[in-house]
Amino acid sequence: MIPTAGRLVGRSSRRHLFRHPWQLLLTVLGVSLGVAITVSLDLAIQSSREAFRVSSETITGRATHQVLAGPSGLSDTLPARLRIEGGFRALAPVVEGWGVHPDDPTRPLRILGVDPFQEGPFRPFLGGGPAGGLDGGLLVATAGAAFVAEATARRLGLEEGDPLPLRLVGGDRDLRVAGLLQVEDRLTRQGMGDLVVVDVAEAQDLLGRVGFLDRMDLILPDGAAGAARLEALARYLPSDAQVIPAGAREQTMEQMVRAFDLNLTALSLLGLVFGVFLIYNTMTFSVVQRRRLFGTLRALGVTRAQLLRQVLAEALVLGGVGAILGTALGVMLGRGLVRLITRTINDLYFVVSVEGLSLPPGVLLKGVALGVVATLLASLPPAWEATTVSPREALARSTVESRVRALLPQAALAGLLLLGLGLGLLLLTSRSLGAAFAGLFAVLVGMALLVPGASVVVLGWIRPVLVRIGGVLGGMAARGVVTSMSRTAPALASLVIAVSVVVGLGVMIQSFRGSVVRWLDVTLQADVYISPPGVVSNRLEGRLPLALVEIARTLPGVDGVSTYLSYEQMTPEYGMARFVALGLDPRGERSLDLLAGGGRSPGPAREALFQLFRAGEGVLISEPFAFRHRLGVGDEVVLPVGKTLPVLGVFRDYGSEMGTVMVAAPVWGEEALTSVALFLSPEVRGDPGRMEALEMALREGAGVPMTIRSNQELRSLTLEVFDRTFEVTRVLRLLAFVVAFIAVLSALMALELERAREIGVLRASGMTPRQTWGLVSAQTGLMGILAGVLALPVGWMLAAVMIHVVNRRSFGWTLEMEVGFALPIQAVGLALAGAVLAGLYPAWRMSRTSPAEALRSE
Amino acid sequence: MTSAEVAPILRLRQVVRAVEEGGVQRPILRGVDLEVAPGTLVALLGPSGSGKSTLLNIVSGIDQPDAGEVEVAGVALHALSEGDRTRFRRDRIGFVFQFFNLIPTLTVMENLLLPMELAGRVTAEDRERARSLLARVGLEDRAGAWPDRLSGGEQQRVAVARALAHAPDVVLADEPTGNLDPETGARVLDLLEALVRDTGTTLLMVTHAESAAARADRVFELQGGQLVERRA
Repeated sequence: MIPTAGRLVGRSSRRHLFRHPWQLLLTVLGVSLGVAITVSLDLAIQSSREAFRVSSETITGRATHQVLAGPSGLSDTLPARLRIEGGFRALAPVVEGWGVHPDDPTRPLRILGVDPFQEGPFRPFLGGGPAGGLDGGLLVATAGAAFVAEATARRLGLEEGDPLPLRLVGGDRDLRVAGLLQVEDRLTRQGMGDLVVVDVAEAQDLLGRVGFLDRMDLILPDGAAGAARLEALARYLPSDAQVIPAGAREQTMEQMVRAFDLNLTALSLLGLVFGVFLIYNTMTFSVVQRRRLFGTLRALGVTRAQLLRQVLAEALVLGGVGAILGTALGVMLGRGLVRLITRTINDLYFVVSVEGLSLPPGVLLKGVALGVVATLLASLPPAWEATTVSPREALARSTVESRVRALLPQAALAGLLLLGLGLGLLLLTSRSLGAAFAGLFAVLVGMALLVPGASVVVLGWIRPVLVRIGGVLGGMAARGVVTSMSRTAPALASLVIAVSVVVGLGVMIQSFRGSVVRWLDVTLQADVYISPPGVVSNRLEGRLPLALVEIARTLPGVDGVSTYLSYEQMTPEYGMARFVALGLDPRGERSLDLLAGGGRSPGPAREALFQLFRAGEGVLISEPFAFRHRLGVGDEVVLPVGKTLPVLGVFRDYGSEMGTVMVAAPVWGEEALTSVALFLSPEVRGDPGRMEALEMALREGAGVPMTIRSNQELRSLTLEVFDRTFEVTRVLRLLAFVVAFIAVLSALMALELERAREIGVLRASGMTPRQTWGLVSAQTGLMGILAGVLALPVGWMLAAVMIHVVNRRSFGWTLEMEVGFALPIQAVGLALAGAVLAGLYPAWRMSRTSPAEALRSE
Repeated sequence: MTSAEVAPILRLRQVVRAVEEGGVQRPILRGVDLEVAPGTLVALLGPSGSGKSTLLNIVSGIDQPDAGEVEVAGVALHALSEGDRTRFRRDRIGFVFQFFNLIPTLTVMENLLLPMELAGRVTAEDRERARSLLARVGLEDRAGAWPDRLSGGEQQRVAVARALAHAPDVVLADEPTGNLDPETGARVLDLLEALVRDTGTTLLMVTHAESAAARADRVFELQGGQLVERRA
C-alpha cells in the first residue's frame, strides 16, 4: 500500500480537481491575474527604460565624454577652434530636438543634427563606417536632406526621395528622405527607432538654434592623458558649459524616474497579494472538501508527509500553469500599459519613444517564479491542515470552525502588532521610500488580520436588527458569516483590502488633484500665457524672442508682463534640475505660494523677501528641490552661472518633481524666453473681440510661431496632463479590484457550495428557490456592506500614508488630504455590488439545486 | 387495504423512477402502488440502494416520478410545479433525517420555527406549539442553543420536534436512528411514535432496524423495485 500510496493519492487528487472545473479555473485565474499585473508593469517599466537606454547609447555612440551647453549655449564656432587650437580631433557637434510627423503626431521623432564628416569615429551607422553605406555628403550638399531610420520610414510609408513633412517647435517644415539608415545589429536598430538625421546647420535652422550647439561629443584617452586633455578642454569652454562622462546624463535621468517606477511596482505587488488571497481560499476549500477522503487515506496508511507532499504538488502544478498563463497575459497587458507609462514619462520627465514591448527573459522568469512561490506559500496552511485530519474519522466541520474562531483573538493581536510595526516604520524613518512601502504593506496586512475579529463583533451587534427586519432568514444570513469564519474571513479580508485600496488611491488622487487645483488658482494669476508651440506632450522645447515683451507692453489693454526662462540643466551639485529666470510683474509675485520664508500672505515679510529676490540677492526653491537636497531658508544654492545665492523661500510647485530654482531675470542674463504671462485690463479680459485682436497683434508683431492660451485653457491643459499621469494608477486600481472580485467570488462559491447539504435541508423543509436566492444574496450583500464599512478607515489610513509619507518621500510634495462624501458612499456601494455580483452564481446554483441531489451528498 | 369511509392520506399508483448511470438507465422503482390511511405508522424496509430514500423523496415532492401518480392528502403531487411542490412540502410534510441536518446558523427554537418562517407567518400559536414540542422532547431549556452545542441524541430530538412543529399531515423519517447508539435511538423513536400518535400524524419511516419496524402499524419492504407488505 505505502509505495503506491503516493501515486494513488495523486490520481485521486487529479480526479478531484477535474471534477471541480470551476474551482480549478478560479485558482488558475487568480494566480494568472496576480502574475499578469506584476509582469505587465514590470515589462512596461523595463521597456520604457530599455528604449531610453538603448536609444541614448546609440545616439551617444562611441563618445567617451560630452560637452553640454549651459544657459549661454555653445557657439557653433567652438568645434573648429578646439580642432585647430586645441588639437581635439575626435569631436562631433550635435544639435538635437524633437518633432513629429503630421500623420502620427503622438509618436515623437528625434531630430539629430550632426556634421557627417566628423561622425565616422562616433556613430558609424551615419556614414563613413562599413555598415552605413550612405553618403553623408548628401546631407551637407542638399538642402532639406535627411536620413531616416529604416523602421521609421517603413512605419510612415516613406521611401528614398519622398518628401518628409515635420511638425517642429518653429512650425511645419518639409524635408526630403535622402537615404535610409540600415544596420544589421538588432540593438543599434532598436536604438535608432524614430531617428531623423540632418546636417547640423539644417538642425539649427529647423530647431531655431542658429549659431548654437546643444552638445559636443568627444573621444578622449583613458588615464592621465585623458585628464590632461580634459584640463586643456576647459580653457576653451564657456563657464556654464559642462563636461560629463558619456552616459552620466542618462543615469541621472533614469534616477529621476526611479520613484515613479517604485510606486508602480508597489501597486503591482498589491495585485499579487490579492492573487495570494485567492490561492489560499481555493486551496483551503479543496482540502476541506476532501477532509473525509484524507481521513480515509490516513486510515489506510497514507502518511502525513505523503499528504503534505501531495497538496503542495497540486499547488505547484496549479501555480505553474497559472504563472505561465499569467506571464503570457502580462505580455499582452504590458503592450497597453507601456503606452500609458511612456506618455507619463514624456509628460513629466523626458522624451522617450518606445518601439515596442521588450521581453527580457529575466522579467518573464521572475513572473513565473513569483506565481509559483506565491502559490506554494499560500498553500502551506491548507496543506498543513490536510495532514492534521484524524485517521480514525474525518474532522467535523464545526470543530474546524470552532478552532478558527478560537484563533480570531490571536489573529487580531498579530494584526495589531503588525499595524504597530508598520506605523513605527512610517514614523521612525523619514526619507527611505523602501521603509515607507514596507510600513504601508505591514499596515495593510495588519488591518487584514483585524478584519475577521471586527466582523464577528459588528455582526454580533447587528444580528438582532437583522432578525427584526428579515426574520429567521435575516438572522441566518448574519450568523452564517460568523459560523463559517474559515471561509468568510479570507473573503472579507480580501474584499476589505481591495476596497480600501480603491478608497485609498481614490482619496490620494482626489487630494492630489485638489492640491493641484488650489495651486493653479494661486499660480495662474495672469490672464494670458504665451509659449513656443510644443510638439511632444506639451513640453516647452523652443524659445520666444525677447522682443516679444516690448511688443506686448505697447499693446492696448496689457497692464503688465511677467517673463520666464526655464532651463533644465545637469549640475554637479544637484544632478538634473530646472532653473527659471523670472521677470515678475508685482501681480505675478502673488503667484508664488510660499511654504517657508516671507510669510504666506502679503505683508512686510513677503515684501522684503521679494525686494531681495528682485535685487538678485537670493533664490526661491520649489518644495521638491528643498526636500531632495535637504535645503531650507538661509542655505546656499550653487547656480550653473557660477554664482552662489542664499535660499529666500520655498514655494509650492507641482509642476516638476526634479525641483526648480528661481532667480531674478538679471542674475541669468536672458537672451530668450520660455514663456510670457500677460496681465490684461478688465475691459480686454471680458471682451472676446478685443482678446482676439490682441492675439493677432502679438503673432504679427513677434513673427514667430507661438501658442497663446488663456488662464482657463492653461488650467484645463495642466489638469489634463495630471489626469493622464494617474491613468496607470486608475488602470491598476481597476485590475486590483478585478482580482479581489475573483477572490471574493471563489470564496463565496466555496462557501455556498460547501453549504449544499444545509441548503438541501432548507429546500426539503420548504424553502423556495426565490427564498434560497434571497438568503444567499442577503449573506453576500451583508459581507459586502460589512467589507465596505470596514474598508473606509483602512482606506483613509492608506491614503494618509500615501499622501503624507509615500508621496513626500517619492516626489517631495506636500498634499492636503481631502476625504469628501462621494468616495465613502462609492466604496460601500462598490463592495456591496462586488459581493452581490460575486454571490449571483452561487445564489443561482443553490436555488436550482435539487434538494434530492443535495441530500444525497450526505 | 384502507377502511372504505376514510380517504387515504398517501396514494401511489404505478410509480416508476429510474436513474441514469454512465449513460444507462437503472430502474429504481418499477410501478409502486401504495395506499395509507391517515394516522398510520408505516415502516419501509429494504437493502441499501433498493430505492427507499427515492420513494421518500417522491412522496415529499423533492423528486418527481418518471411515470405514475402520487397523491398526498388529496393533492396530486405529480401534477404540481416545482414551486407548488415546495410550498406543499413546507406546509404539509415534516422531515427527520439520519444526520439530523439541523441548520447550524439557527438556534434550536429558530430551527423549529423554520417552516412557518419560510411560509412568511409565525403566529403566537406557532411559538407556543414549538415550545410545547420542545418540552415534549425534553429540551425546553435549550431553545436558544446553537445546534453544534447539542449531542447527537439531542439534535435528533430537536429534528423530531421540528418535523412536527408546523402540524404536517405526513412526517417522513429517513433512518432516524441510523446515526445514534441503540439506547438513544430507542428514546428518539419513543418520542417520535408518541408525538405522531398523539397528533394523529401519518409517519412513513425508512429503517434497517427490525426493532423500529416493530413499532409500525404496517411494514413494507422494497424488493426489486416493488413494494411488498409484510403480514403481521
